[in-house]
Order: sequence, then C-alpha cells, then structure tokens
Amino acid sequence: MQRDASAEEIKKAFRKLARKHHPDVAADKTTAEEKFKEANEAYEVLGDPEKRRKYDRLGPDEPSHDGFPTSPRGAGARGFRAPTDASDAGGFHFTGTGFSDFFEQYFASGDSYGFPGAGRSDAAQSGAPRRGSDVEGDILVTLEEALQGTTRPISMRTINRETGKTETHSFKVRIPPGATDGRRIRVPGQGEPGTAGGPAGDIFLRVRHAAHPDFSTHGADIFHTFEIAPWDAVLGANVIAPTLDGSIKLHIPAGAENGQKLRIRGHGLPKGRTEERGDFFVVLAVQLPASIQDEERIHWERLRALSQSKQQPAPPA
Amino acid sequence: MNPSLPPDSRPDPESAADVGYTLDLVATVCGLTSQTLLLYHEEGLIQPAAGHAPEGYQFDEDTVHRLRQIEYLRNAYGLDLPAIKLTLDLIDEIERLRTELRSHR
Repeated sequence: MQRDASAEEIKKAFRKLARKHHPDVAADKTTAEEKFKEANEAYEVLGDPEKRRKYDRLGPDEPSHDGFPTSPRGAGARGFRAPTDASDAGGFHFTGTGFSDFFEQYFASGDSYGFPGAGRSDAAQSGAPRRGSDVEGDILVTLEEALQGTTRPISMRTINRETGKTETHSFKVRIPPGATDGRRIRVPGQGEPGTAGGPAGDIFLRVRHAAHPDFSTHGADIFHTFEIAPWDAVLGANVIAPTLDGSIKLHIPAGAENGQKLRIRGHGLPKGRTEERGDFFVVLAVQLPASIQDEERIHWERLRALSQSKQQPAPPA
Repeated sequence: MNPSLPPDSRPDPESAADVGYTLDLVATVCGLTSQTLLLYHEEGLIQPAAGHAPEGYQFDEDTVHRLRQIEYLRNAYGLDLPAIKLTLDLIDEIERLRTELRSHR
C-alpha cells in the first residue's frame, strides 16, 4: 500500500487479501489463518482514521521518539518499550487473541481498566483479603469460529507485584457457537491475583468479529451484499448466494430495488445456547454496466425510446 | 494461578463460556444475594438472557461483567441505583456507537 492510500483503497486491498487468505478458500491452510488475521489486524489499524494517524506519525524506517513501532510485525523484534508495557504496574499482555503485540499495546491492551475489584482501597488499607481486579481484553473471532465455536490457547504476560518478575500464564478459552460481536467471555480466576489470600479476578474477553470479505454481522444476523444486473432486478431471477454454511438458492422477485434486503430465516449465527439462529440477509446491489458493446447499446436505446413513449401524455381527443 | 480460588471460581476456564448462570450461581460468583439480583432486575440494571420466572432465569457472562461494574460504582463512588443505571446506559451507548463506527469502516 502507498502511504497516502485512501480509505477506499485500503478497504479494497483488505478485501483482496482477506479473500486470498480466508481459511475456507486458501490453498495453504496452515498459513492461511495467520495471514487472514494479520490482514484483519492491519485493517483494524489502517481502517481507523485515529489509529492510522498514530501509525502515520512515524515513517517506515524512521526512529521513533516515543518508542512507537514502525511496523506491526516488527514491534516485538525491535524490543521497544510501549506506554502500556508490562513493566508498568497493572499492565497485561495477551497473545493468541488474534491481535499482535502492536495492536495489544496500543489499541486493545488488556488492562484492569476502570472497574477494579469492589471495595479495593478499603481492603488494601486494612490488609484484609482482597479479590484481584478483573482484566479486560479483546479477542478476534472469525465468523466461521463464531458459527461453530472453537477453543483458543491464550497467554497472558504480566508483572508479579510482589516479586517484580514477569510471569506468563497460559490457558485455553472456549469460544462458544454464537459468539456475537461485543459479547464477553469470562475466564474465571485468570485475572489479577488477589492479595492477603483473596481470590484472583477474572478475565473478560470481548468478542470482536474479524472483518470478512463477504459477510458482516449485526447481533446474530449476517448480511451479504449481492450484486445483480439491472435486468435481473426488473425481471426477477433465480440465483445462488453464498452463506457461512454453504450456498443457497434464492429467488429475486421481479421489480427488486437497489438495497432491498431478502431474508433467509435461520441462516445466521446461533443465538446463545438455544437451537435458534439469527437470519441471513441478502442485500441487493444493482450493478450498472461499466461499458457496453454496440449491440447492447441498441437495446438500451430501444428501451429508452420505449420508456419515453410510455411517459408521453396522451394526445387530446 | 491462585491456589486459594473459591469454589465459584473453579470451573475449568475451557468450559466457562458454555456454563449457564442460574440466579443462584450468578449470585455466588458475584458475592451477592439472590434478593439483590432480583432487585437489580426490578430496577432494570440486569436482564436474564432467558427464562420468565426467577427459578428459570438464565444469565450470561455479560451479566457477571455488569454486576462487577454495578458493585464497583456502588462501593467506589457511592452511587445509588438510578445513578448506576444512568452510568451503565451511557457506557452501553458508547459501546454501541463504537461498534457502529467500526461497522462503517
């Protein structure tokens, strides 16, 4: 990508990469998932104006005055010290969530943010057992994982407040089928350790759906933009549309409008632990031809003449 | 990580996401009474994910997270329930708007 790439160019480049490396279609499945998540991660940064401004502040080879990494993947290798580095008290860093160190430290760092354990200050003063703070983080989930569920190994690195040493805790997180965007997954007892014999806090991982080249979600509903020719919109058509779990036959009614949504019930994401699923929406996008051949022009002109003659007021009797 | 975890924190983290939270379980996990939870429900602070009567209520992990927020706002800032509801509604709205912003990119 050029440094001055527009938002639309970034979006197009992402879609191209995401399509190429999507785990369902890539030839090399072993590296596809990682590359797909890398593309998502880069899109998270470059597709967000504020994050991109931060990233753009430093040239690709310029030394960073504030320790800001010059590339997402180079962050760890350069050994920079980030503002929320684990050496800062209270810092938590995850790996395995789908976001690299770069993303974690700048945009989604796990932290014991604004809601530490209740009654913390009183307990700390009295020396009474205190429950550790909860830790929050984001976890990148592909739509396929959200549909079927999966188990993800996660590592969390933090500083032990008592010993001052860096500690890494590894555990597995089960992402249940129907993990909708924004939903929180609780990992009990893996948050900040308690003091004076108090229990550890929990980790809450907020699900964030990886951008998909073909589908988007809203709650348990899935949306797919389907391009159709103008004559199919006018005359109606039978088409095959992709869904997350296979293709479906779809009838486009005659007189369909641009932006019209066709609902296919029960082909969305699972709703919680019930058997119920959300819906799948095909959003019609009428595509006008970018160029036409001579013969096509003749037909379009005929169509125009016919249409104009219909609009002529009837001659007075 | 912490050998002195109370029984409510012991479930295998791998299966935690699939655990359903009954009224009693979510009360135990959050160190509250069932009566307090029902009061919060009455005040519109929490909503069960399923069920139409207290004995059949099923809560999810977002509710556990919400209860932690409620208790923090009560204990750290001394907010009353209407003030907590207003604060949480505002947080929800910010989260919703951020999600919407992301979806437009």
